[in-house]
Amino acid sequence: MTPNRISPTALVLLLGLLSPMAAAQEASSAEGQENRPLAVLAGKVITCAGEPIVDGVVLVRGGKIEAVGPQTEVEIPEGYEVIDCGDKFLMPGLVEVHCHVGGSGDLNEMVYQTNPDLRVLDQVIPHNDALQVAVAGGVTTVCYIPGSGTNMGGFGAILKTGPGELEDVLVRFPGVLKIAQWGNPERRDGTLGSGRMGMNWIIRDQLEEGRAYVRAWDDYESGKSSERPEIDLRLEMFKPLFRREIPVLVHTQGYQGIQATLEMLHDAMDLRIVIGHGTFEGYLISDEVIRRNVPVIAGPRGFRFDPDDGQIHGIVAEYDRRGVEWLGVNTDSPVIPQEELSFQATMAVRYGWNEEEAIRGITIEPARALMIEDRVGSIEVGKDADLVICTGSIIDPRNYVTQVIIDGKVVYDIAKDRRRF
Amino acid sequence: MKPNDLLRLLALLAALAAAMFPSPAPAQEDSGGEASSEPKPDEARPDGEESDEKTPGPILAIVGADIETVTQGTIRRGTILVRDGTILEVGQSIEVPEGAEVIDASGKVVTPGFVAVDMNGVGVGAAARSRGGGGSSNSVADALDPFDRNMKLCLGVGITSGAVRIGGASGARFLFQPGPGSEDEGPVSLTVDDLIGLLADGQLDDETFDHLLAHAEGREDDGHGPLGLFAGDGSGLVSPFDSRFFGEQDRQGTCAHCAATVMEILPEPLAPPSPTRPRPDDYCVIKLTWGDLDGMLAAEQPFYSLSSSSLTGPFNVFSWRENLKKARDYLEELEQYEADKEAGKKDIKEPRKPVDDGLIKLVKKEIPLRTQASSAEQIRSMIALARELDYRLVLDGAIEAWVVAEELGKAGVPVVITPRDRRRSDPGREDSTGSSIETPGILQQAAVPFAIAPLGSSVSLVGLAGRDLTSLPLEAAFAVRGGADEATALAALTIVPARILGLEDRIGSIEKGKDADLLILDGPPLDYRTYVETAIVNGKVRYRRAEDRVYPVFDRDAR
Repeated sequence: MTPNRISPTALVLLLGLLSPMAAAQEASSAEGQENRPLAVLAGKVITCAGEPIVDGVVLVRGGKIEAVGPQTEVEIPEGYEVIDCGDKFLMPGLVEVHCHVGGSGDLNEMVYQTNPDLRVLDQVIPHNDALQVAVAGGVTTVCYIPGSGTNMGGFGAILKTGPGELEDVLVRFPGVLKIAQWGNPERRDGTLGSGRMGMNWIIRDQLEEGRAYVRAWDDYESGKSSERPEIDLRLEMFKPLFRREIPVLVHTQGYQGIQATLEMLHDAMDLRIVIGHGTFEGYLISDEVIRRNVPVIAGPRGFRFDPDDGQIHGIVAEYDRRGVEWLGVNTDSPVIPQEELSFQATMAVRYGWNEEEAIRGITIEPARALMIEDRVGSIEVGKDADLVICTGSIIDPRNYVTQVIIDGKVVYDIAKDRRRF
Repeated sequence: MKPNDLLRLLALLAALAAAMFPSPAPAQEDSGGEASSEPKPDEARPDGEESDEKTPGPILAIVGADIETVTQGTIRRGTILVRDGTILEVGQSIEVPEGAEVIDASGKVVTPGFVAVDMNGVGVGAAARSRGGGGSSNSVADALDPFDRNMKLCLGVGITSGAVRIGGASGARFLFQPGPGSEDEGPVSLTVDDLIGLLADGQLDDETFDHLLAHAEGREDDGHGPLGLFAGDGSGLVSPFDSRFFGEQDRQGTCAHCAATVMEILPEPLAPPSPTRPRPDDYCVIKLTWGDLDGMLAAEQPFYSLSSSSLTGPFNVFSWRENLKKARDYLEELEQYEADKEAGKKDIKEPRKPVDDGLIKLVKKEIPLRTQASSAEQIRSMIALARELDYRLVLDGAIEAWVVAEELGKAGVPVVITPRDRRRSDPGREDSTGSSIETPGILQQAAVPFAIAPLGSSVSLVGLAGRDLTSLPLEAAFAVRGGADEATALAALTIVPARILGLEDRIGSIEKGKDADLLILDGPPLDYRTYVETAIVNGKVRYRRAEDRVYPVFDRDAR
């Protein structure tokens, strides 16, 4: 898979055919940067794994975080390139659970009401225009998912936003299954699925089929059964889902929708789930969400105007107030531009959330929701070196991102690149 | 479906207006959240309305706050005295007269009220949507609605005045697909006036009405495409918000907010614009004097507003030149006529006005031309045209202003920008095309005055946070992100838009003699956490966060 347009690098390489020397130089400088270990110094390191570190340093080697701590305690080994960010803030790259801008926009195949055989992997365009700006907003990981035109849009892919070929940027595929339980997939032509009863039946029916398929394979592979099931491409990707290796990202909102999500997908099907909108009055069943310890990564709507009391209510603040802890925000890009993920958090704080929790809500909490917290979402030793340097707290829109490092490589630096956001 | 008449609505408005101008003073007591800043009936109005002007009203004193005057720097722990709607005194060592009502604002920040250059559908009733336009004799004053909920939502973020467009949807037609229970066979065509009638009849709710109008006006900023046609569902005319048919839910489809199929029609017949008459959009400036019609209308036709397309292309530019020439010729003839009349000449004929009043004002430089110019090329040609034809200019949506900042600065043309506006640059021309997040800083460097407009110009309650009219101060925070300093960004919310509206003598800064439009804030004006605690317009408290409770009320320190 290659991007369907010519990147500037490709152009350089193309010109390089005429001038072998130039091509060699280009290649060696890119290589050099890739391999050089880094020491990134910042006035405040927000690790999202414990207290922030004042005057901290993060060592990066081989694309991973090698060490993190106060500058007085962590020694910088020889040969490390030092990036001194002065009094700026250093934080983990942001993680988006609900993105539709990871490639070409044709994300709704609406022939069938459920499409577990479809995958966005066929659509990915690494580091496309939207993702380039997303990088400038500090977003380094996105979960690129199908649309909500049908009850089951297909399987999404988790990607890094930086440059490279598909294999360079792919974090996990299948990343998530996309299920839409409310609103958009309703059929208005009188067929089954024009309302919640029908839609829930359709989803349940499809999942039952998938579960039976995966069980048959599990039984065969564990030796419980000697009969080798036939391979069914349509159901293959249900394997990691029912083995709880990947979650379902659910387009669900309002208390009825969330109730159905919890009871069907979580309780009956025993799946890992992420509430992918959670908006409108969904926060009214926070106690059910808490009981099951399910993440709510809310958005793109940030508030609800309640006609009964005539007031604006912050969605996340209302969940928070009721005790839900596993919280984050999403953009549903391009509904909200991908680079404004931090601004979604800004608005949540404006409406009553807490700033520290909001920073977690765009880093480690969505990473945990996507089950990729072993790789991204916080600054901890062994994790991917996805780092964002900002002129202050990223929640304050007056501050902006000056450098972004993905997998140990500087992919955005306003000293060299035109500022994109 | 019978087309409904306007009379009912007009009668309703008349009744409302009558209720707003009560002859006995005590009726004023229930007109809002203001404390005792209201003149006491027996003091201020001893003999009715007549003597109001002569007896100075009571004094309101705001003490202890850091005052951001905008034009005269910051006054630490200053005092502002307000009387009869205007600022009586402002300074650090002002004595509070005995008997004054005192608002202790210690630890708070006071700024002038923010001014919106576009405030769609705020403070005006339904009638404003179809009335007016190009020399109409209908009066904006008839459409004001001092109890419009949008006013509270705007006051809550600090907007105390702004320009409202009148009659933007007057040409639109709405086609409703009859539902199964309807008597109508085919689609029913309705005009805006019909919708107003239905609204007055209670057959259409406010939300649906606003929604339809948003389509007709093509308010893409809140997700409504420029569509003139809307098909209902269910029996007869049904609101897409009717809970019997639809719940509150996320709808993407053709329109993000409609359940219905939306088809496109042209709101106006396909014909070249008339070479003889420009068709300006009609605007007025209103102040958000919640509960009070008095003093609400600040100005009519503050600028001459034309669409960018009407100034683009040889034919349109030719027409524009001709029209301005006609206006100038008329003024000369009029002068001659008046001189002749003075001299007692006989057989003279008063010249006929060949263009609308607005164009005359434009030629006399009483008001500027306001139009949109997003590309550098458009901006350049608008500057050139204004120079050639000698009128004042304001440019909206000037996305590529950063490319031509020097030229704008030299020409002294103010622009309206939205820091988060995006336009992709042309491939290979990244240095001279497209949007730049650094535009505000570049404009400040080049001394180009700019006002901030938010992403959306109307109040939207669909739930997307920080993108509608009520995000105005947050958009200014993005100007700081883009390199402007805080003072410039605050000016972009206050004195610059005030100048664009031609009201810099009255609003946009805290100065002696100006209107008392003041905000008491619980933090710095451009901090995203800051809320307006109290908003004062024309000297009266119109909004209190804790009492009005339209925005969340919580203790941030406890969070």
